[in-house]
Amino acid sequence: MDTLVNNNTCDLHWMLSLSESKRLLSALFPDYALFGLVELPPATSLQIARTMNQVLEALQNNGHYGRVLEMELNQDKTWQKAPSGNYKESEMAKYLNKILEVVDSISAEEFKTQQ
Amino acid sequence: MADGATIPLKGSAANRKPDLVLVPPDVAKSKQLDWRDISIVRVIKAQKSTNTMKQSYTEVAGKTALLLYAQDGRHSAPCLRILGHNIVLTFFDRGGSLSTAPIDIHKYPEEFLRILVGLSRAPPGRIGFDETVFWGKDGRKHLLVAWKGNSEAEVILNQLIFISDALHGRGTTVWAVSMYVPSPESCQPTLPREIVVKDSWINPLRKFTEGGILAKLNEVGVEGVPRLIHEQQVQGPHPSIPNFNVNQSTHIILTLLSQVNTHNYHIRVLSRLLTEPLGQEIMNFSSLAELLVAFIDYVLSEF
Repeated sequence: MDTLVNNNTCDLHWMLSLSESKRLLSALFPDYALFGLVELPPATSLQIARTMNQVLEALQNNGHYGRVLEMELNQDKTWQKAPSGNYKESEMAKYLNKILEVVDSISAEEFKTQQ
Repeated sequence: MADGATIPLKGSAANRKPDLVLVPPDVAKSKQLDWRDISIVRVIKAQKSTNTMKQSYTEVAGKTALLLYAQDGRHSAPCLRILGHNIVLTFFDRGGSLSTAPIDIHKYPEEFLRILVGLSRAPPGRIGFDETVFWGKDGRKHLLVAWKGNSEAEVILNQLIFISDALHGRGTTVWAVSMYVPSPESCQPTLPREIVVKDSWINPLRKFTEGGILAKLNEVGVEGVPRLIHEQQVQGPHPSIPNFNVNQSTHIILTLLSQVNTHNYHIRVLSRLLTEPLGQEIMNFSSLAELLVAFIDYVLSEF
């Protein structure tokens, strides 16, 4: 155990199941908190600017996520160009920043069209 | 913005380097990385196994302890562990730690995106920052305190006197602050009142709080103890209900789950105590002899 960490840290640790993990992530980072709300004309109601599902769809259309050969239905979908094997930390940093840049551009584009 | 670190970062007592960090874009462009600027720490392992799960947890716990020690306006921190093509999000707060199950980024792309975008875009309160501690227009750190009932007053943080280096527990932070209280006649701020602010995560099930004990001692005129100005429970935004403030507690995150197992989690709430007078630092004594004479004087006069 790290000297700076209390000896009882492991005893205070709790690992969630996959379904509880998904529930926690949706509650903690809901779409409205990440992408904001927009007022649609006529100004009658507020609507979430984007949903994560829409962002993922856009990433698939841009070729960041999907099958290597789109026609091969038995092939698993993967993140294209994601570093794998023994990659350098800087490669992962670049890859994550690229994904964030694309998400930013997707949500900005949506905001413009809805205005 | 994510960035890799190849040398130990500044701003900490120990020489440590995280594998990857998330920092605000303005910080990433402007200067050498510092523990005080980091939003999220990430640890990378080439593959997921029982060994790397345990090892990465220990690693990330140690780095989170450093992060919280370097950031006095923060009470908890989420951390990311990238294990092969799996990611694990772990939250550390004063009550314990909570990890998601390992999430395969290719199989669950939406969850991967939610973590990535959530950590970089979520409001600061959702990733552990105390929104009552903030930078003012004067370039100094300010703190919101409850004052006279429901109103709030801003105080200016002059000095960090103490910050706990323990990852869990009370996480005590003490500041020397200047408080400007408007006089009732002129409504203009008076001369600053130099006071002490102490934040700590206390067990709410205890019968007496520190403020309660101080209030009783002050009431009966016991000398040699701090004078209590105010004691409050700090509020912050609820993580899933917009525009709704609740008392800050380590159990708020647990309310987001369907099954609550509090067995491994300590319940603590954030208490803020305002006291005076603000003493002199021991370092201000010119010599050890002077300190000893002052200490002897104190003991003889009080007992």
